[in-house]
Amino acid sequence: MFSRRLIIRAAQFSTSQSKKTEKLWENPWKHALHQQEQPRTSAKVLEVPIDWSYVERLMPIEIIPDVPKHETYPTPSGWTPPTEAAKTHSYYVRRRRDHMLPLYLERKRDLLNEKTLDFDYVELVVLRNVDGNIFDCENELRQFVEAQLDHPIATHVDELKGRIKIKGAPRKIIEQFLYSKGF
Amino acid sequence: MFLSQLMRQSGASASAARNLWRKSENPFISTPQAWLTDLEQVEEKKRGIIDLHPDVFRVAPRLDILHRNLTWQKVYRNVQMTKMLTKAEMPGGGRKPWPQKKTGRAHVGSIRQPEFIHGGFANGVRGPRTWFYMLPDAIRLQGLCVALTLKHAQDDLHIVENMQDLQNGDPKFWQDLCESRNWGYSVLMIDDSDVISGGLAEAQEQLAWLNCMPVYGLNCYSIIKYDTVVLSKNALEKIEQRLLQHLHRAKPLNLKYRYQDYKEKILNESRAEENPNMPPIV
Amino acid sequence: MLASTSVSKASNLARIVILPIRSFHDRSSVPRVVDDREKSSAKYTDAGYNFRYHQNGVDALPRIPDCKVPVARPDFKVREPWSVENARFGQNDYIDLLGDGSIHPAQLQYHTPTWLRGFPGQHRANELVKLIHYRNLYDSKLKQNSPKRWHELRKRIKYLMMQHNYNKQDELNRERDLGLWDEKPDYTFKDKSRRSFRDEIP
Repeated sequence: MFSRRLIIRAAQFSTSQSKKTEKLWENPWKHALHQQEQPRTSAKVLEVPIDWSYVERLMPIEIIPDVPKHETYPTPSGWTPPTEAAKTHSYYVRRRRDHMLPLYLERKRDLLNEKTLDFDYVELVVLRNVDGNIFDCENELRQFVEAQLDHPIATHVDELKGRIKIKGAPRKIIEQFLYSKGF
Repeated sequence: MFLSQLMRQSGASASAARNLWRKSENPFISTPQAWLTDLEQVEEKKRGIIDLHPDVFRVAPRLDILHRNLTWQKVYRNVQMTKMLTKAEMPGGGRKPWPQKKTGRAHVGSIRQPEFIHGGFANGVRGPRTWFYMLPDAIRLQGLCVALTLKHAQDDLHIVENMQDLQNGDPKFWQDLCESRNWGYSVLMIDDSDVISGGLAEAQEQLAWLNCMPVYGLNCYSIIKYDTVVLSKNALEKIEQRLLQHLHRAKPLNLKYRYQDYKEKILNESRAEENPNMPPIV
Repeated sequence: MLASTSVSKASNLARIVILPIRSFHDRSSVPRVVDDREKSSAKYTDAGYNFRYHQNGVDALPRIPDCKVPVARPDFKVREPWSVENARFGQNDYIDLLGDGSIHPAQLQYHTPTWLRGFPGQHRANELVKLIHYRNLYDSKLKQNSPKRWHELRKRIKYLMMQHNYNKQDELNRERDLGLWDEKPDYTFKDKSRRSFRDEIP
């Protein structure tokens, strides 16, 4: 058994060596290079056309997209695009980058309430991105809001920053004013 | 890439020369314009007129925001490497110098107490101290827009067609050029690519007041420091594209800088600088 | 006119008049041994102080007249606003907005120690927070190779911890806003390197 194996191995060794004229150890580099030069068998790659549109839909949005066209305005959420009437006034209120009205809420500390010993807070509404004659805007806004509320409101105009701060009026009414003017 | 696609899609624009992406329909803001010139000869030759985006080159001159940007740029890189040792860190001082009582001297426990002349410091400056902070992106974007607006409004912003591979690299030529065009003492050239070649590259090595920067090197401090800012046409488009892309990005503009987000990246990058065995000396 | 007044003022300031004036109750009742009787009784009456009521402008500094020794002043510092580094001051500060978004200016602070790059400055993160950050990074190296510094660091952290817990309790409230650690540290987590600054290292 043992001797037989040996014989077989020797036979194999002899056959492999007899194929090549040069010995393996005489120039091992050539042997290695020869091995590499043989054509490599690689599996063929087939590119399957995949519709990535469904995956792309799930990718995060990088830039705020344009608003799609709707059949009727206002949309069910109450949003309206700015109209041509907006350009007819002596002032212009620019939309935010997300196509909404530039109205912000601010809460400011008022005087100390002596009865409860708590600070009172006033709720201010800030209208930003006003260009043109901002004082006209403030006048018309005041007239509109006071007609709706039946009490005077306080406003503060910052012309350089293009902002109007309004005290004593809810944001909804100011939103109505801006929509009525077409902004 | 995405922005340029969007820009191509919404092709409707008032200007004939350039397609201004998402230009506001505000009737009170006219589109700012600038002359297009070149740097081939000393005299200024007007090759055309070019529209600039009003959201970048015609914003309200908020000097307060510009000042915040300039202050941030000066301060955020500061490092103080002084470290005043406390009495625990000073050598020696472990022994009580004299008995507590009956010597007529002060009751002291160590010669390194802060009262001693060679003692440690109480409330001293401690260690490497940094003033690093990041302004919100909205403020930095607006600061850039304000600085560019101011430069344009003061007629110190110029657009040229090309800056690469100019023929003349003679410093005298460039001095005459800036002199004849009334560009003031110092000139900052901003190009699209970060490698510059030709005459301008030779001249800016010779002249200290003439410098080139790539688009990503643009900053409020340099815009204000240099008398004149010269943009190449490609640089102008890239600046507008990048700024508008950020102004209209879906992510919020007031994203807070968190060290956690950059910690791994910063430490991995600086691994080669560190001694593999010893911690850095504080 | 202006020069003459300033000169006269300077000479006034330089003059110190000593007159032997004694008034009541200005000595102790116990007689003292003095080296010079005249000196003990002599007093400064005029130290050169000028009342500057109704005098506009800035007072001249007190100078010794005709003194040849120049007044000590710091050397004039030559500023070079157009040297290479100053001309490019501020470059790449906006690289995260104007570049392709792969680099942040916090990564480019090559002049700061590596462990402080992008770390909030001392007006945000106080010394305690900074040292805890250092400890968390170089914990093993300190223990292995510089035990004295590890000891000193621990002493300092312990001292500052007491300081902030007992004397400056209001300062640690804002530490959570810095974004240095997770909002709620996981106390039950077994990995000691993820422990928060609240835990004392044994």
